[in-house]
Amino acid sequence: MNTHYLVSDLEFDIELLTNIKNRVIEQKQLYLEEGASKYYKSTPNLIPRPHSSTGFTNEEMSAFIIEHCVPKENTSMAITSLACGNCQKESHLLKQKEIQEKNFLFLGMDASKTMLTNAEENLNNIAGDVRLVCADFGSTFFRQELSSILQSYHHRIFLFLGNTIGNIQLTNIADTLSNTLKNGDLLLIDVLTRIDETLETDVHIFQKYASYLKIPELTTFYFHPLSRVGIPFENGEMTLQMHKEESTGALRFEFGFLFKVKTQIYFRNEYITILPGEIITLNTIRVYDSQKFLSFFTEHNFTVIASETKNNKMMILFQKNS
Amino acid sequence: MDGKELLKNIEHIPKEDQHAIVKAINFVNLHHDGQLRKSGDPYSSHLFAVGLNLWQLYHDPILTIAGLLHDAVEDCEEVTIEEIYRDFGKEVGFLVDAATKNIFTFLEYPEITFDDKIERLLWAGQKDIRALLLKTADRDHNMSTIEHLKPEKQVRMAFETQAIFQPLKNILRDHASSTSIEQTTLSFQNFCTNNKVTTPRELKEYLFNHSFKEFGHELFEAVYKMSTSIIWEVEDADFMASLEQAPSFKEGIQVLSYWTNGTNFKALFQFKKGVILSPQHSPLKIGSLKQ
Repeated sequence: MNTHYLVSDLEFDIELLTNIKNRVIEQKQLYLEEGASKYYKSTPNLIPRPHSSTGFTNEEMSAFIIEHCVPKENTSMAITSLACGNCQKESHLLKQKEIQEKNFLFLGMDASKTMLTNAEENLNNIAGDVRLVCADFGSTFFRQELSSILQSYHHRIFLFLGNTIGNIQLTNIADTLSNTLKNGDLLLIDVLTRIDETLETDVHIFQKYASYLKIPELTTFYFHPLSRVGIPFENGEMTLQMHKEESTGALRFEFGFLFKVKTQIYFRNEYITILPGEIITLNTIRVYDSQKFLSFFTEHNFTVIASETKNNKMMILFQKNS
Repeated sequence: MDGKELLKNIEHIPKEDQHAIVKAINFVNLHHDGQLRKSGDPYSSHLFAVGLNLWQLYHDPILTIAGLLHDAVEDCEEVTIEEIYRDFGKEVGFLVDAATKNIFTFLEYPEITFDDKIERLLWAGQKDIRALLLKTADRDHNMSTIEHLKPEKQVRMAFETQAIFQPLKNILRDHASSTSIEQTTLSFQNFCTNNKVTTPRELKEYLFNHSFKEFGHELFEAVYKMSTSIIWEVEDADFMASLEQAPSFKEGIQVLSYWTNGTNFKALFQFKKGVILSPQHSPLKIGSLKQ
C-alpha cells in the first residue's frame, strides 16, 4: 500500500509560519515530523483521563458502525476516515466480516506522514481497496480530489474519530463537512462530553488537564512545533486556560506557551518577534455539552441518526440533509 | 442641600449651641468649597444632609457638628485632626477621628493600634455611642445615592452595609426606647451584656453572623443585580476550591475562565444574580475586583 501525497512539507511549514504569526498553532502541526512519535510517548498511560474511566473500545465502535452505518444490501460503500492517525480503530473495523463481505473502499486521510506510515502497518493485512492520503481536509484541492474518488460510491460513510473534532474550531469544521458531504452521507463523530454542567465537574476536568502541565513528555509533545522553529523552552512556560464556548456549551481548554522574554526567530526566510506576555496557543481540547453539540450540527444540515454515550464520551451518527 | 435647612431647625436652640453649629456650617462651606460628589452635587450637600439627619433624630449639637465635619480630615488636605480637636473640642474631635478612614489609632489614644477599620469604629462606639450613630447616618445617606458609584464600589459598600451597618443600625434604633443619647447608650450597653459581646471583634462577628440570616433586604437585591456586570478574580486555588463547595456559590456564578501555569492559578467569574455566601466563606477575602 502506498500513501498518496496531496500536500508537501513546504506547505505545512508555510502554514506553521502563519500559525506563529497568528499565535495559534493548528492541531495538525502537533503530529508532523517527530510530533507523532512524541505523541505516542506521551499517551495513553501517562495521561490521567478527565473525570472518566475509559472510552469506547474498538469492539464497541465497530459494532456501532456496523449496526447503524453498514448497509444490509451489497452496495458499493466508501468509508473515509478524516484525520485517521494510525488507523488503529479503523483497522479493527475493516477486519469485521460485515465489512469484508462488502464491496468497499477505505480512504484514510491525515496530514502527518509519520501517522500514515504507522497506518500503513496497521492496515497491511486488510483485504480490500484501502488507500491512504496525506492531505489537509480543509484544503479545497483535497476536497475536490475526495469528491472525485468517491463519486461512484452509493453508500458513503465518513468517520471523524479520536475526539479530533474537539481540537478544531467547530464552526470551521461544521461548515466544511456540510459543504463536502452530499445528501444521505453518514458522518460518525466521537467527542468528549460534559457529564453535567455543574461547577464541580468543570473544576474536576480543569484539574485533570492542569495535571498535564506536570508531564514532561506531554509538554514536549505540545511544544514541539515551536521547537521546530527554534524557540527555546526556557523562554517561557506552559499554561492552561479554560473558557466556555456559549454556542456549543463546550469547555475549551487551551494549552499555551507564555513567553517570559523577548524572542526572535528566523524561519522560512522571515524574522518573527514575540514579546514577553504573549501566548501562543499550542493545543485546544473541547469538552462539549452533548445536547448543544447535537443541536449545533442539526443547525448545519445534519440529522441525528443514532448516538451512544459512555462515561464522558459520545458517539454520534449524523446524516447529511439538503 | 445646603446648610439653610439645618439653620432653620436650630433657630430656637440655646445661642451657644447655635453658634457652634453655625461655625461648623461655615467650616464646611470654606473647606469643602468646589468639591463634588460622584453625582455631580456639591460635596457639602452630603455633609449637610448627614448633619440635618442627626439633628432631627437626636438633637445633640456635638453629634450634629461631628456629622458636618466627619469628612474634613479625610477630604481636605489643609485640615488636620488636631485642628478639629482645637477648634471644636474634644468630643467633636473624637467623633471625627472615629469617622476618619485610613487612620489606625486615635489622637487621644496613641497607644492603641487597630488593623481593622471596623473594629476601630466599634471600639470608638463603645467609648461614645455617637461614633456609631454618626457612621450609620453617614452610611444611610451614602446608600441613598449609591447608584453614582462604580459597580464594584457599590457591591463593596453593599456587602459592608449588609454585614455591619444595617444590623448595627437595627440594634441602635430597635433597642433604644427613645432617641436620647443617654438612653441609646444604656440600651446598647445592655444589648452587649445580654449577648455577651464585650470586645469590638466579638461585636463585629455578632453583626456579621446575624446579617446573613436575615438576608433579603430589598436594597441589596437591587445592588446585587448590578454585580452581574462585575468580573471577580480569585488567585488562591484553595480558597476558590472552598468557595466551590458552597451551594449558593456554585449555583450563583458563571465561570469565565480558569488559568494555571502549573503553579499559579487565576479564576475569573461573574455572579448570575445576587448571592450571599455563608459566613465561613467570607466574600471579603476575595483578592481583587475588576470591572
